[in-house]
Amino acid sequence: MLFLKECKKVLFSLTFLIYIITVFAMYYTQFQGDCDTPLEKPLPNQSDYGMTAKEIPEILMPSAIESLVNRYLSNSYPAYPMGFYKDVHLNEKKKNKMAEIITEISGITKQELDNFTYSEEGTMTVGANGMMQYNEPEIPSVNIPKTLTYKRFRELMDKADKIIGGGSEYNDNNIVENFSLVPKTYEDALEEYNKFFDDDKITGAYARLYCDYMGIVLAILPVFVAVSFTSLDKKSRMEQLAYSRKISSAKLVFTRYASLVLMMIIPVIITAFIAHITVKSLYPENTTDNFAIIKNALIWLVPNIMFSTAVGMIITELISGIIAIFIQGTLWFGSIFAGTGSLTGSINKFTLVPRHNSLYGADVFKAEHSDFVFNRIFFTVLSLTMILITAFIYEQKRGGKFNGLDISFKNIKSKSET
Amino acid sequence: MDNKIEIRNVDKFYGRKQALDNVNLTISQGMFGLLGRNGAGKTTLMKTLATLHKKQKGKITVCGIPIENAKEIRSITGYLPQDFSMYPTMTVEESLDYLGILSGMDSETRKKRIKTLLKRVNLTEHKHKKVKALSGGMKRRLGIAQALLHEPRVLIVDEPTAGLDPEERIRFRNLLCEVAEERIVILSTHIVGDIEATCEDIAIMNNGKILWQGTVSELLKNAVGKVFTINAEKKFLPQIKNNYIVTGMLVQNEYTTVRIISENIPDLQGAVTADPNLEDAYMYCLYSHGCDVSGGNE
Repeated sequence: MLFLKECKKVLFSLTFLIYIITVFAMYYTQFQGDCDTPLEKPLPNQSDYGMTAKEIPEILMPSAIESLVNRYLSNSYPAYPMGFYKDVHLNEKKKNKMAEIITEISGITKQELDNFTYSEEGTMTVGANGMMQYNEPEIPSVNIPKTLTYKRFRELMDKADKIIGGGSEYNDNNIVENFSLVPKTYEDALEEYNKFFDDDKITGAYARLYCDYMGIVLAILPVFVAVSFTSLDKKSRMEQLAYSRKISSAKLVFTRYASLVLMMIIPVIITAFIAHITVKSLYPENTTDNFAIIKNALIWLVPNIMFSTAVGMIITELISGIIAIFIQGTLWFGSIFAGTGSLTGSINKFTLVPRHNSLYGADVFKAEHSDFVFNRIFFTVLSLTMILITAFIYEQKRGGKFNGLDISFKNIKSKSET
Repeated sequence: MDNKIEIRNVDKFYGRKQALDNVNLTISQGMFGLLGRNGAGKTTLMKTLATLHKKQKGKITVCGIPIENAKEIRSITGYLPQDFSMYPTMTVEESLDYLGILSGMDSETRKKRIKTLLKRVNLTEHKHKKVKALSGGMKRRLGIAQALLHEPRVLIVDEPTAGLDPEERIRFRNLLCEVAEERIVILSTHIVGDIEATCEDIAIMNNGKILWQGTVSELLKNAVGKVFTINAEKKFLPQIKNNYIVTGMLVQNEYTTVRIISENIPDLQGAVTADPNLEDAYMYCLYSHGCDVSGGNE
């Protein structure tokens, strides 16, 4: 009964409404866009099967250098500093630093760069195969110095990435897959395609993509709902009425936690169901795993909700809601930033937001599966431990043994004045 | 199970400040008034009895249960804090139902009790009203209903009439007297009129100490022969205020009738002995225990 009452409290809160809107917005703006067309089966003797990444300096270096010169001349650097796309424009100071790097790796001086008449529009020409092809805008001719080692080149690329603000094409984790691509063979392409159907049963691949997008928001949004909900007793001047009742602190705190988590799972289940229907309609003739998206959503995303909610509850009880949001925001930012640009294969034992932003790469995911399982169990256990501590803090506050930590600016100031 | 609260040698500190200083009290069934100035330690004592504060020293038993058994104490105690409200978007009925669940009451009992209590506090017509739409008086009545919901043996009410208009105050005091027929009701207040209208047994607190405990008639008896009235010209008023404790002044054309407290017959021409009221007796009690009752007189 208490559980249902608490669920009702969550349901009618403004922050929960904002949560629902944001979850659906994330789903429709990010995931839905990847469900427009089905994957096409590769055929023999196709001219192109796509590319695959292999670290070959002879391919990587000229390709990355030409790209960097292009980006410099247009002063437009695409990047994913926090997992989201950003078009970075450098100021004069940073442009000068970037020019120094370009000079060292390409032999093109700053003066040459500045005097070059650059047209942002590339050109379309008829290729050898008779197909129209896009040519990058013309740039000054690149002469890679013979003294430039591959190691030094990678150092400079890393420096360029930092100037851009991280998460760029030149980031250490991405540079190979961005600039050292070799054509796939028909066999490679077919194997990958078959895995999509046989191993992933289609929905398995989409489930990873869905969880990748939704995991980003579900690692941060619940903290707002939890903080608002946990502060409600104090805000409504209801604290002492609740404190003086018979119910045990553990029962009250765990019930409130369970109701918050369950209510926040519901929109996830709904979007997962919509995702399943959408994917199923894309591949009407194929056998799909009907539970893949829901199952992955629960295993992958619930620990995110549990952890973010637990941080919101424990820090609100211990210090304040603002500090809880700040702490979770920092953890979220750190987790996403740590996986900069590496949108697939970015799962380790302690990252809060596992990433896998691709319909392919089932092998990569399988290779990381034990880490992934450990990761999800770790965050689940950590969340429950935090709630146990929250119940203890609540009991101490309730009995007047502890009044919460006061680390407000005003308090720090008055202490320093004393 | 005995039906009284026993408080023995209780101390409570907030950091270095002593909020309760060797408090000793015995409270039996019926209305009990705890009178004292703001900051005297009344709320601290009320919260300690409601298990919301921890004492540092001493012993408290509520109906034979040691205060350390918080869960048991909470199950037999109803508490109405000085400053409280409920979830603003919940209705009156929903709020009571929610608090009933927190008290561990089953659905059927809650339903019956809520119906009875809403009738008793005159809120039946407003049961579907949201808490945010209630007036101050209605909120207080809802407060008493929530405190009585689980049929507690002890009811603790802290400054319940603050901010109420005279009509609501009278209604509220009568309600407290009615519920005190079946249980211990502790009324903490700084308003002497509330005590006068409801309590026979009282205690007076100051600076965390119990200055006095007894009945209202005993308190009045202590002040007999210590209260005087005098008709004085306006020009003598500052002098009187400087030398005596003034408990009342009634301006009448050229003269002002001044009510004063004095240990001995005042050295003022025309001073006559008067029957003490509870306010006089309270002031005399503070004065006789060495408390500063000058009230800022120059």
